[in-house]
Amino acid sequence: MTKLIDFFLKLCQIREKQEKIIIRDSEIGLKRFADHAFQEALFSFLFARELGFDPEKLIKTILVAKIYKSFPKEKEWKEILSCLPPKQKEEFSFLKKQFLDQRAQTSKLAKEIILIEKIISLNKDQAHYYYQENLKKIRNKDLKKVAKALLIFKNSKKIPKNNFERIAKFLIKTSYLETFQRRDWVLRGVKDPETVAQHTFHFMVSSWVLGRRKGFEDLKMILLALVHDLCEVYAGDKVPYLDDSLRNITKEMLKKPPRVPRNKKIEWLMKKKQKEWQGIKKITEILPSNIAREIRNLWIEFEERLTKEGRFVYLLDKVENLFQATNYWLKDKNFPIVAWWIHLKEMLDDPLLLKVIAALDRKFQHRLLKLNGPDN
Amino acid sequence: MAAETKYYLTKEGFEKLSRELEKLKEQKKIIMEEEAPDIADLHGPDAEYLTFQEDLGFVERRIEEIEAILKNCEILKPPPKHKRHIVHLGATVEVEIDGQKDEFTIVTPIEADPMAGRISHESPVGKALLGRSIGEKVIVQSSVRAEYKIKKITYKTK
Repeated sequence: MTKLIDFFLKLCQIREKQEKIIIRDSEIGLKRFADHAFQEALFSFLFARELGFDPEKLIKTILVAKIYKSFPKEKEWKEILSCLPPKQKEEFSFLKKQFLDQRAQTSKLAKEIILIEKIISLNKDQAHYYYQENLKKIRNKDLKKVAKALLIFKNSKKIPKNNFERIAKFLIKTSYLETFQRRDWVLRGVKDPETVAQHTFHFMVSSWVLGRRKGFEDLKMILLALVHDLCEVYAGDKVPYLDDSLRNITKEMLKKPPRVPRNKKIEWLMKKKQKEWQGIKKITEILPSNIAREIRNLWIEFEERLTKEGRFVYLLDKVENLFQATNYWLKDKNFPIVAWWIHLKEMLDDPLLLKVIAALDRKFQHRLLKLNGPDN
Repeated sequence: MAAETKYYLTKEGFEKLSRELEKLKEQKKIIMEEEAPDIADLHGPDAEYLTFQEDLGFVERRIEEIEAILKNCEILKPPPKHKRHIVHLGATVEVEIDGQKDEFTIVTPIEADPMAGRISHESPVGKALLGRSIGEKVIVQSSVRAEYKIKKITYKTK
């Protein structure tokens, strides 16, 4: 378990690594690896079946490729692998090899998706130039159509005419989550806080790794994580029991878990559910109906914890937040980490997740004990 | 033969699941009658058909799950009057934590919704509160210390 803790903390470091591309002889620092990974996983999910590929293989290849690209030195990559259980270590090695292998069909498609997805982040001129430059590398005819549609829908309110255009427009709309910084961190004054897309990337990997230990299907775990925050494009990010104006908040309030009367909890929760449900409906309405329905079903399964998988991933989302909070606390000792620990002791009831936070507790026990003050 | 799992539910939890079951059965009927794709669409694994199957499969699985819970459940009854100063499953506990007040109802994992104030009896705080009585200070063990002082315990009697 200690090794897995190191793996999750290393994943937090990927957030800081940025992808760069060359456009007209100048280097452009593009989005962070984790932001790209979110969009590419979404891209893969939407297209894999249309193109006759296995979505599980495709998304996993993308996720492992991002981790590998963030830690490309042999020593770093070996360190990452050493944190994983033997079977997943083998799987990560295999997917990395396959990604580098030009003959593997899934890898070819993954590489083409990685190329095309960048169009979303570039400005209009750069995107056109980049598309022309890379057109030859894209063999898949359908992906070419998507790339063209992405160019059309950049900065355009045009109504999509076919499924490729619908998906392209959806991808452009969801790219908002790559710049949308999570409110919990913004309120606590974190410099350069995590975006919703970066959180989703970590969450997909941890759901895959820990879901396996629970005996759940890998793809189901990854997809529940992938879609869980899509509603935030329209609904925003809700901070427990605070209204959307986020006014009248003091630093003292943020140091402790929020405590409000039960009727206020329920009122806040109902409003949140309503707004998020409207959000997921609105963001998916642009998609072909079968895909829209699949995303909404996954989202409800997670949000309402309708299945054992949904319940597990819902709680894991809270653990993910503790890892990110720990990452910030390790950089800034004034970060109010105590609130997350107390909150999780009330939230978690899954034995595996309780083991995970117990291992995290042991790792930082010495430092955490100091937070209790001299009286304890 | 392995014993079937016994589920303990509050009265509200039982009613909520019963309502969900009714709705799911209606939904299943609608899917079967109205949303089924045309027969012509069912030839070959087209995307619309696969999603239709997934929807129906999902609804059916959820129906099965709820039926199994309701078949093997016991509705929690409040303890006898002389034991109501102690936290049992189903109790609503008013606590003071670091100068702040809060309130939790202790339920089983299937009913837990901590954001709505219903915490699981298998969570560290739920576990620590069970069996304790009014006035007691409960400390949840971990490096970050949290102390819960029990101010009031209530049970729904109707």
